[in-house]
Amino acid sequence: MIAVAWRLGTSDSAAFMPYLQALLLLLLLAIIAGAISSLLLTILIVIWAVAAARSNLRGLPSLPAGLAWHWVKDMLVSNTVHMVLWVIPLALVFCGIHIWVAIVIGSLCQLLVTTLRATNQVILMRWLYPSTPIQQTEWAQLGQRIQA
Amino acid sequence: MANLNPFVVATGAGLAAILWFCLISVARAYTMRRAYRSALATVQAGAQPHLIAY
Repeated sequence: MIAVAWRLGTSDSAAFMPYLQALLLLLLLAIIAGAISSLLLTILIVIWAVAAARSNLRGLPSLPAGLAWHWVKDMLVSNTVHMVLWVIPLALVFCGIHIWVAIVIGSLCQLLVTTLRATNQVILMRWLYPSTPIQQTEWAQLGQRIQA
Repeated sequence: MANLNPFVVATGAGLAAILWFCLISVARAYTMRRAYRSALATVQAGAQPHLIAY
């Protein structure tokens, strides 16, 4: 696959054009594999460990379905952003740019998204799970204890 | 090599990847389940559990 991608980025790409359809099929199946396996992992972890642990920690009945949906939403958003930012530069290979240029652009995009996600985690959380900061509620005095 | 149908190769590799990654996902989740249950048993026995990490 890497060898084929390498040749596609060079002047000898015409020799690999007969395999383009098959490569696109493989890319599609790889994307399906990535999506299905991350969904499976997320749902199983929530049901088998996270919901059970929260239920024990807080003494509340666990709600695996709601918790699983929150995790799946988070995973789908971040995975889609990462995937799109890799697929766009890699697809530019078919427009003639060199494969290493695409890899460098993809890596920089990934670095950027990872940094933005890490620095804006609270904003992202509030966007994915709309909620009010505790300082703005009647339990404001609990906010400091939560921060500590 | 020349006699291989590229579509058959791509389909086989893709399906194998789907199966493999699903298997790995179940194994990872099951590892977490065992770690959680082990930590819970430690706590219920009155001891301090080791770090649960994943």
